[in-house]
Amino acid sequence: MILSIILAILNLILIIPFIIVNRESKFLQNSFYSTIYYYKNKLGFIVSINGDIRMGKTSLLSGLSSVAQISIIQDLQELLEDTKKILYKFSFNEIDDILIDYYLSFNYKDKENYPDFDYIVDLLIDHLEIESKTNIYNFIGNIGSRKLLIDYAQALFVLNIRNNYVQSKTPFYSHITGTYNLELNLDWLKIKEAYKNKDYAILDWVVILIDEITDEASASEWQSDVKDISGAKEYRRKFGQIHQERNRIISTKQDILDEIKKYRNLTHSHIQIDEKVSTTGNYNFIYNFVEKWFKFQLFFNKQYQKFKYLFIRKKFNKIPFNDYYYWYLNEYNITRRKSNYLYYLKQFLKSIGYNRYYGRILKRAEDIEKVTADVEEFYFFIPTIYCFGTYDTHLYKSMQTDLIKNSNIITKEIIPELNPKFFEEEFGNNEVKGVDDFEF
Amino acid sequence: MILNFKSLLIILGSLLIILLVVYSYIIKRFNSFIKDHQKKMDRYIDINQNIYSKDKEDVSSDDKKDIR
Repeated sequence: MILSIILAILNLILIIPFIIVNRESKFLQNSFYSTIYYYKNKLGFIVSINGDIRMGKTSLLSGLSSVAQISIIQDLQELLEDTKKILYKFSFNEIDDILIDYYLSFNYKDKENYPDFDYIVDLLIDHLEIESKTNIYNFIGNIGSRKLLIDYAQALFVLNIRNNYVQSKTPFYSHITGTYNLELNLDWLKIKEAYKNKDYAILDWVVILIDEITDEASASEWQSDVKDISGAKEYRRKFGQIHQERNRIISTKQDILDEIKKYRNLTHSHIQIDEKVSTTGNYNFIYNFVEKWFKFQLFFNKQYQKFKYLFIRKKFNKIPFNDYYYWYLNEYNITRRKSNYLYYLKQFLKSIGYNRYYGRILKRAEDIEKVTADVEEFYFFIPTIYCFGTYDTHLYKSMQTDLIKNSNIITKEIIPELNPKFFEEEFGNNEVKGVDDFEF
Repeated sequence: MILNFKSLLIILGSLLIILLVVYSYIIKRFNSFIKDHQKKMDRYIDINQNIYSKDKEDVSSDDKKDIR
């Protein structure tokens, strides 16, 4: 009887971790799906992330951009499927082959080669000899079949050939596509100037990332261009319509008041992060257990070496055991190999975790300081791998090296005993200060 | 009653053995996963265990005496 109880307890102890891990990973996965849903359906096309310093704004920017990429890919796939459903008599095997062959025959680094989808669809229609100027009525509205084909051709190109959904000034690595971002010049957002200067290259189906550091329309500039001559405000106001609700902008800001006053509009969501970002679901107990196990192994190894040393003492000129042990560890590289293992173990466990963000969505500028304001709270769960290590947070690091290399002096430790000669420094040299050489 | 008790013991014991096998399999796989990654990274950054064996060869016997 006692034996069976012991067996049952042992079984339970071994089964419980499976249940906990299974439940937690399901919960986190579902939370991530609901984050995607929330982002897709509740937030506007322009999202600004606001929060105090060190709260996790940039990591949320990275995470949300990954969410945005997933939602763009889902939208593209939906569009392809819907087109196939509507134009069910067309052979899409043939259309896909023709289009992909056509796309692959160009190199997309030059402006001349960039596909003009109107022209491509004309070619396609001529080639297949199909009637395309019809309207399809779906009991709610009309869809032009030509427009459907243009969207299809574009979606196929974006999904299979371009395979890049991020435009940003700061370098950003995407774990979704395994690529770096496309270039972005923030002057392109000023559409009126951009049109005048023929300087505009924002694509469809992208998410635009604007860091506070790289944003020229930051807090220090918020009162410039009040009349919107450049067109930056108009672009943001009509953003959803210009890009047919396919694009997103995500920006980070510390000064939320300026942001709301400057860019408040119908499709702009202001997220305020109230709680510092935390990670969850990374099973740190495994790391702790392995670390303890290694310490345990090392302890026994040391005892064994002590015992062994008694017999080989003469070979080592009877040096103290600690010196021998130090030499032994270095010789066989035991501790460092183990710490390397622990390092990768820790990083791996970190990478499978999720980042948790808590905050609220502000609707009015006045809500910021009100405790009783009407706000919507949210919890975002985003995989850590999408949040950390993807965004180059030190874009201007080369400034320091440039400054140091350019300079002719170095800094030294001071010696207080040598009395500094203040007056000599002030009056000692005969150089005349200021400019005294005038010509009239 | 005795039969039932025995069969309970057998069920619990076999379950325990299955669980232990599963655990040892998971631990082995996980361990080899991290160790494979270690080896891969060693290759990338061009550090093999050979460096240590090279060091050993380079150290002459006189130097070794000094260390000791």
